[in-house]
Amino acid sequence: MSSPTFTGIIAFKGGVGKTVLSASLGIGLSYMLKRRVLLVDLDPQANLSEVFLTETTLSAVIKKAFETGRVFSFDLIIRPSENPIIYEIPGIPGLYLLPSHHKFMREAAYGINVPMDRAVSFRGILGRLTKELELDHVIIDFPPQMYQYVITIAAASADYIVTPVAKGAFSIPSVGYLIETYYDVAKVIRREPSVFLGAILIRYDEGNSKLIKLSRERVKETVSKFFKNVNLSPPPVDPVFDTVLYYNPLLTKIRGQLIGSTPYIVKHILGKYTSDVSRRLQDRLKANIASLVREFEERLNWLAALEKSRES
Amino acid sequence: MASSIREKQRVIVELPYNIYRTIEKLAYIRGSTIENTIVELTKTLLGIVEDIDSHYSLKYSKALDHAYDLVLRAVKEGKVKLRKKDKAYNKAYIVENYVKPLGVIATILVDLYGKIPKRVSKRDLESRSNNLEDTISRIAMRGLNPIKYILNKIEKIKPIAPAFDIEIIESEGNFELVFGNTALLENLYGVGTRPLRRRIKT
Repeated sequence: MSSPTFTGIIAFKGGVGKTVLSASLGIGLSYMLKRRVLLVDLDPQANLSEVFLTETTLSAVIKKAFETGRVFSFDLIIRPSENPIIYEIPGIPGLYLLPSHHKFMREAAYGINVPMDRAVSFRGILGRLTKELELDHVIIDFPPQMYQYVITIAAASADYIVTPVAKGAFSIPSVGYLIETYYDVAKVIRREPSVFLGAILIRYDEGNSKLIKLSRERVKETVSKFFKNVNLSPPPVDPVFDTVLYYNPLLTKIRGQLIGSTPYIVKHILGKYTSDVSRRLQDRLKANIASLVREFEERLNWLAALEKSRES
Repeated sequence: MASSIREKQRVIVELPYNIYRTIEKLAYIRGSTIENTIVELTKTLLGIVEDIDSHYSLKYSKALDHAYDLVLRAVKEGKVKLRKKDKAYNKAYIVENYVKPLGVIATILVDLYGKIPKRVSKRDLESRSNNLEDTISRIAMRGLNPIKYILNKIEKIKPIAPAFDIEIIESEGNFELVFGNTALLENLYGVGTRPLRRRIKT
């Protein structure tokens, strides 16, 4: 019996690498581990959609959506009886995208209130999609917490949450704020909060082991301090992933390819650019993503096994 | 010939004076005409009604359609064998006899645990028997034996359980439900329960 997992990529702070992490996990799980993955872009700024849709493909998607009456990611929360657009990413079989639309930026500006039952319906819709597309993973890319609906949907629709931590003075304290808010809301709306799968250090330089060690310790300290203060049992996994998603110039240019149908990052993963520099960067990125997704699955398997042993 | 619905329609409505005054003020604040303000207000209201309608049509009819599709798919794949072959493809029959009891189980579990858990055993349910009794009196009727009621529902959903990735493990005097994909049942919350029936009637 396959058991699809729902993972929310969530962070309090903007610009820490939620989109990069979602895209990397999606590509890694589908291309390297041959899993079937659905990436859900819930960000009104449509960053993840921008990674995988070029101007050419976006207009084709919008046209098809209009013709077939299908809707974008956020529409599903507002009008859950509609059918969603599922875009199959070219070049990587088994990787799908439920895109966001830039029109949501305007709606989000006025504040969108998502009641709890809508958030639960959204999980139901994702559940149906897992069956239809035979998915192994659903990865939901959330906007930063400045949109008030983030935590509600995350708590209702994700089984696990992962947060990226970028190099920066504000990133580490923001992990503390995130967990605090998350558990506060989850306590009210879902009696059992989703499991905090861990923080992933992102954009650190490969050779800077001192800084990585220091950041890892600080994140651990922040997380354990929270669980100690609220008298909750901490998640049974290490709060920080061993794998670091290192700085890679390819990831900085991940968005915004204007023409063609194959996204920029997919082209690199498929090795379409053949210069020496590109090759070197591609190999580094592929090895990095592969170890990240392996650890991601190991953690999920370990948690599933732990849950099973507890029940028996 | 009937006129197209896209054509502009002229509707004359007599508004109560107070409402007219309010709209007039609103139009003045917005810097718009009274007619445009009324059109915008109607559009906004219809949008909200459409959102609400979409939510409830998912809950009350689409969720049942999806569940029916899942059962049919499982029948085609050979995972599910329904006893009465002549009724196997009858939607009303499947919904009434299989999907609604499943909705009742989903509702009980969501009310008890906050969300559908991955595993539920009889022992675990018995430990929450107080809440369980309350829940069942709310969704069905008072005075029922909760465990017997759930067992009865489990018995009903047995034939279609594989369609929803549910494994039913039964041993002497004990049962356990293992949900492979808990999200599949989220939209069935409320289906087949008394509050939902009452809401539809009113």
